[in-house]
Amino acid sequence: MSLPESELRARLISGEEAALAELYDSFGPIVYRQALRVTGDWAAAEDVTQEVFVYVWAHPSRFDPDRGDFRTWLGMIAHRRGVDWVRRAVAQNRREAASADPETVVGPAELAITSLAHALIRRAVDALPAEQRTAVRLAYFEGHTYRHVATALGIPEGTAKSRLRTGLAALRRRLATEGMP
Amino acid sequence: MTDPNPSRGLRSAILTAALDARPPGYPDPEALPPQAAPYGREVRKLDALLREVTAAQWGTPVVSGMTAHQLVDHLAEHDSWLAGSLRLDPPKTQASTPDRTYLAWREQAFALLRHAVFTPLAGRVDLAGLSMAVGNAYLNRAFETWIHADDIRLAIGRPTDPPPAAHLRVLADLHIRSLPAALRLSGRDRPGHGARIRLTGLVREEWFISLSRDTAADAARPSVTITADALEFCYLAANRRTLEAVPHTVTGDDGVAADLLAAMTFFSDE
Repeated sequence: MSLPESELRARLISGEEAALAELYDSFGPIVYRQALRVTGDWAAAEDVTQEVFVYVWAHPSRFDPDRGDFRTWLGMIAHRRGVDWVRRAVAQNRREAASADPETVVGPAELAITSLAHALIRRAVDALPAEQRTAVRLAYFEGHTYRHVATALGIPEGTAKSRLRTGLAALRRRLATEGMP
Repeated sequence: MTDPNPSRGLRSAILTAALDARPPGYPDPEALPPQAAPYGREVRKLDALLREVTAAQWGTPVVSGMTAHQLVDHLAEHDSWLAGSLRLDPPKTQASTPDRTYLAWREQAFALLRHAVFTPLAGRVDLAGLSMAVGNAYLNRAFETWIHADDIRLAIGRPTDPPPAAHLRVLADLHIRSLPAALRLSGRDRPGHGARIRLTGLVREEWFISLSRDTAADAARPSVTITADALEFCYLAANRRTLEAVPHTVTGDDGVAADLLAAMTFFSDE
């Protein structure tokens, strides 16, 4: 392993603040993009990025320079934490779908079942027109009901319904072209 | 995905969160060798405690006529014996304000820990005239740091916070292994006699020690067996309990037991 990485590891172990700043400046964007790929969510990707660097600062001796470089190690942790986030998000969607009135809950939370599917869906959602995108995000990924979506966006319930319907239809078309049922 | 970069604020948010999780200069505790691990933990605990001590509490009488401020200064002075032996260039602890005393203690304690991470704890050091293995000196620092932290906690109305069982075990072990030296140095050498010490509670273990350096005693026939709770035993060793206050049982030779119990606090000066 290259000397600078073992050196950086030693500086992190000894608690040198500047070493953490260097680590973030070198790998922050890479970690963030990896987290974004897995979660498909900007805010979640930032949370995951923070978790990754706080973890590395707390446990730098767990980095084994003989087994890989920082980039690989950080990417692995980012991936794992990202998957954890997706699992939590899916579980929460399910819980909220299960506890809410089935008539008023928007859409199948099952849409978001696997992390791969999740990422594809996120990408498709990102491609929607802004109005639909916001409504769909609130409904599917934050588990809000029609009513909540309407209140949150300050629009009539009927409008919220139609935006979601249109957004969902567009999503289906797009996902079908990406090979998802 | 239209935004491939994290927001600008993330960097400083991360640095702040990280330094909350582990203060700068405090080494990764997982990198500490076993003999320095208890010190690492007790230093972290005392650091967290001292950060919350109020101006009024620094002046609170704690133990042996010392205020919290004076006690931390006293602890830093004892730490400086080890730091000096290891040539760590101890910071000047002659400090006027509680803040400066606290920071001087902290800087020196963190430096001792960083030393333990990167340098094998081999050889011996001289601590105020007592020669001991470097690893034992680190355990000794852990013991005193814990006891003084508890002194301060009690003085400001907080519950005590003893080390976890695994650390308590090595601290008790160090103390028990040093009893023959305590007997010798206090003129209570008992050639041919041995003692069994049986701890209960958090640490359930038995030790056999010869009560004289010169003659090995028969481990199968200890002259005396002393049984006590591990945590109370440590408080007794630290002179934070009187013998009367510590539930214990003695079987065997009462004279030998009395000498042994009298030697218990030989190494605790405050």
